[in-house]
Amino acid sequence: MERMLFSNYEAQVEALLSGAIDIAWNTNLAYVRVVRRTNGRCKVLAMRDTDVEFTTVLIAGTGTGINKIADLKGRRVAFGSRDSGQAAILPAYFLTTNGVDVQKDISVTRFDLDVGKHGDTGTSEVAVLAAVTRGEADAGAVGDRYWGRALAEGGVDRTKVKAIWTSPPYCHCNFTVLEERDAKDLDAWTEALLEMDYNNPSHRSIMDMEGLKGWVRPQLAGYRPLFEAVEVVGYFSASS
Amino acid sequence: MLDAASLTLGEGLEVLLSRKFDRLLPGEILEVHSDDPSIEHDLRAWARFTAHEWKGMRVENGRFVCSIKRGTAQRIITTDPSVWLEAKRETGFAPRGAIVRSSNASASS
Repeated sequence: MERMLFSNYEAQVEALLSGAIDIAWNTNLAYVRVVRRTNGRCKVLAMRDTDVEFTTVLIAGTGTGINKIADLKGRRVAFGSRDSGQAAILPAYFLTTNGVDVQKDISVTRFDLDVGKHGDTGTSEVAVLAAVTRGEADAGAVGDRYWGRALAEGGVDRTKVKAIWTSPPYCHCNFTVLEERDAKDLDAWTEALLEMDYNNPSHRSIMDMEGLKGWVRPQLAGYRPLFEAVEVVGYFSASS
Repeated sequence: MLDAASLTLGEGLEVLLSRKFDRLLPGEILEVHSDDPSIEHDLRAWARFTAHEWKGMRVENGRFVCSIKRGTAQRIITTDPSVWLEAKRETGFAPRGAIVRSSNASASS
């Protein structure tokens, strides 16, 4: 097996579509792009356990009086990179479906950091938390993965920031292949992944680096919110 | 059961939770009682981060009761000195780059 590294997910998607690579480790947004470009003629091999039940957490300054989504109207709200599913696209969608017009009802501060990485590096979520902590934004959106880690590591000043809302769950990254490439050798590769055991010391270090405790089979229904979100916020028409 | 009062994860609740989960078997449920209105969002994110399963929250006598099911991942806890790779037992742990000196030097100035 050979590895190819890409500086951005759009280039990786093009490489998958052209046949330059067989398997792509895609963000949820990159997966949505592949499905759209292939009219669904693609397949997911596996996902991390941490890619299932991903959520977005809305945070707010403790002194802002914001306790629910409706309280965001008229306030300054920080979003992550414009191509971050968890910190920009899905939060805009969830606010819209909960009665907040992102264009008219709130003032959005967007931290477009590491664009092309689809929020993978987490830098824009760090910026969102910092802005809310410093009072430069009244509220903000981060992924629960970042929020959970920041809390566990003592990186949140809970006298200044609190969580006010957790979104419905959705799915994140996956291994994607084109439908015509699907073959027996990929089945064996997938089974090898699924057999990895976090309590086996020789597997643990690589799994820690990739942020999972186990590989799971695809749960495609979990991508539905993002498919709807890119339509509602017009992501692809705005970005292409 | 763990009574967290108003303690947050960054203030030490994370340590208390981890120690409680170490004593549970995979599949067993831990109930966390808290007075913090934001605890639901914090513990739900933390549970997923640590590969436990969030089971939900209810309000009971004005307190927030969160249920978390223990996952299968084991924390590595050991008293085996051989795993303290670079630390010397005589001098303890020192920040990287620091020069460790004997501690019996005179404190006079």
